[in-house]
Amino acid sequence: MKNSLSNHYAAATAQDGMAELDLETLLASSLHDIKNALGLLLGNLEQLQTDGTGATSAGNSNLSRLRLGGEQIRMNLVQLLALYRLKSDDQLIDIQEHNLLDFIEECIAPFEEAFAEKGISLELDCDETAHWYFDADLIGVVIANVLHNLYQQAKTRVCFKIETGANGLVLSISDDGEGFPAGMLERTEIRQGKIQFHSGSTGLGLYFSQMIARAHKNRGTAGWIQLDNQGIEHGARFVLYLP
Amino acid sequence: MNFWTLKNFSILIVDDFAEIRSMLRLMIINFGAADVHAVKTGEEAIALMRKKHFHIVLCDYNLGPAKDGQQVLEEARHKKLLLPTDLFIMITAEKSSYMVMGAIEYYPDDYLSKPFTRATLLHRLRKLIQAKEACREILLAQARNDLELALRLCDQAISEGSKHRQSIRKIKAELLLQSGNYEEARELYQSIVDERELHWAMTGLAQSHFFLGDDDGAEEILCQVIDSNTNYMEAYDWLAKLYIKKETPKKAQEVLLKATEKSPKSLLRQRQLGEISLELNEYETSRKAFQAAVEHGTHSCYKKKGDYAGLSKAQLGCGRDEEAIRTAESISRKFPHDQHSDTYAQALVCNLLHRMNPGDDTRQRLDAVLESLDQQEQALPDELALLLAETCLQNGKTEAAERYIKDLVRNNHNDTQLIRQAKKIYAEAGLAAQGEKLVTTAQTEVIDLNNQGVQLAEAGQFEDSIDLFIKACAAMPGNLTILLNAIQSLLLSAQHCGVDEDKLKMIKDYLQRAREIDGNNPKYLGLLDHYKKLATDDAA
Repeated sequence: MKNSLSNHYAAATAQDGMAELDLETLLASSLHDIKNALGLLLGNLEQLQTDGTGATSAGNSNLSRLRLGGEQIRMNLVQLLALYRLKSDDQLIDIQEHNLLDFIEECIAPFEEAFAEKGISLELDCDETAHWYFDADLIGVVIANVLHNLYQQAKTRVCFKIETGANGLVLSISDDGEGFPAGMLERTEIRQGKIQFHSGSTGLGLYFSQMIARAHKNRGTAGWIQLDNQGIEHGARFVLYLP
Repeated sequence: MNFWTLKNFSILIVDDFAEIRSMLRLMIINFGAADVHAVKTGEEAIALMRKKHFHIVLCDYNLGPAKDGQQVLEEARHKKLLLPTDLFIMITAEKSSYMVMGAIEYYPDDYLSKPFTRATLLHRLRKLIQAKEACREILLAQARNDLELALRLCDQAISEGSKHRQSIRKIKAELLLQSGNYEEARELYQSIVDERELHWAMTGLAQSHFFLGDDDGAEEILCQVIDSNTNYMEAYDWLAKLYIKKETPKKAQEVLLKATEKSPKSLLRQRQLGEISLELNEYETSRKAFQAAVEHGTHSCYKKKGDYAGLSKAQLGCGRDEEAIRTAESISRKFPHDQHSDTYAQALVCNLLHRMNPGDDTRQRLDAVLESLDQQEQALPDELALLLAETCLQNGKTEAAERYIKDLVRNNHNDTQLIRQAKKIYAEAGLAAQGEKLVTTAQTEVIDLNNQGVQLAEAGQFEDSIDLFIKACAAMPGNLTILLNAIQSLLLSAQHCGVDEDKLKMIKDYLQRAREIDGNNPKYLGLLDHYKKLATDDAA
């Protein structure tokens, strides 16, 4: 008797569990699966590159491009989740203090090989002990966005410059490419941060970056981003300010 | 960068997907690691960690139906399967959820969101290992309870301009709280907050106010943290604690309700909510909380029989009598390795039956339970002693109740929560004054005895002090304070009058008993360290 009652009890609990599987849970678990699959894909690509000692350099650079492609999908996924989070819920932003050199090095790490193969050098101007306060995951995606663009645009150099002061952090990333097209910089909505959705990836990336920068607030001041052509020899320059 | 290697680190990978395990393993091996293990479940991870020490654990949060990553972390840290200098890295699918996973006590050293590349993993590991290395001596001193040394090392590192200055300041502030230097802790937290209103520093500042007795100050700061970031769980925990201290249980319940809504899987928060709601006679809220505590507790090292008792009482309050009895009966099944679980379940059923029909005579049933108990004068587990006392009082067996409570208080004379529960049982039976007197007398008895022993030791009369403590330890075997002071006297005597084998053995036995009561107690850890030094000196 005792046994049958307890079985009944267990069954009821399991049914309650079934009822809770709403759309959000389903979406979350499929995202989980996608991320796992993508992680495996990227891992296998990396492994292929490590194992392929006899492969031609052309083959290797194809692999690097594949990996960057995978990275881009990864970034888009993270972006998607972050957008959903910032739009739907309270401000789930996790501001901690970070060492800037460590942080930038971690951002650059997945790109290093691909940039080296293309003959682009990455230069870093940052004090070893400099630190600032931000959400490292979110700002990491902002920087990965910029690096993806630079991979297409830069000729030989990409330069990171990081300055901190009492009022905030200024991080600028410049390249020696052609710079942003004049038309793009003239669009006032970018300067004012009122970026709309456009076809193509730049629009969403910028929209995201602007949103993330603005979500970083400190004592009444919010962060911002800015684009101009004051990079290396009039190349493109991306500036991020965080209070 | 390529010169850096994981060669000297033993590494454990925990993930339920075979492909991900083998990919992580490859990544790690590529960094030069030779000692790499990978397991599928949290249970396997804990079993392996009991046998072998790992420097780094990479653990996925989602591990299928049994233990999750947070529970692996809790158990590993709680049972000291990891040193404070070891790394536990939680791998999570999405960032938003991790902030609310936080248990009351343990946080991983870092979170890594999936998917990540090899380069990212390498970079992160290197950074974390460097940071641990920079704090190594401080963490070890803290673990030995040598707080003075730990604080000195912090000051030294800060004045040398360490790159890890901020994390060292954080440790320093925690050490100041731990050592009772609340004013200094307040100043340090305040100076960090002046630079930036970081949530951990604000919460630390509130804690300092709390301990300094400035409840209003603490409340204001905690509310500010909660208003600005609704997912910083530690702030909720402290605010609830503050309201309990101020004896405003309704407010504490509101805070816990919000907290458990954010972090439903936290067993300890659900338990608190269940208990406080039961006290407020809000049975439906209590039932839901205990139900969650029981469900999430299945695979947790924090699992307790008391959660089932709470659940059944709440079910009874909701008029779900049959369910309540079933919950009580399920205890023997849920705790198969607990020698007292049958007795506990039967006593609880008896207790519930009396609550259902106070007119019915449940004496016979209770007597059967009491008779089934081992007649030997062995200390009963606290949970069981409380339940038996409560049930005895229901049935007018005041003498038996008195015996259980007396032993309980003697064994735990400074455990405020247990003392409160003991008094509550008497108050519920309409015997508040009697309970108050009983508890206070037993407490005073222990305190007097303890003071006497300490005074003898201070006066250099070690043998007398030891004799007194040995007798006290026999009379109240579960009292940690007495046990630790007995060890202290034995150690002092060894230090001043030379080491003898009998005493060393006795110290070892007492240390073992103290470890069983609370292996994380700072004073215990300090004495253990002292003993180890003595034993090695003796051997040399």
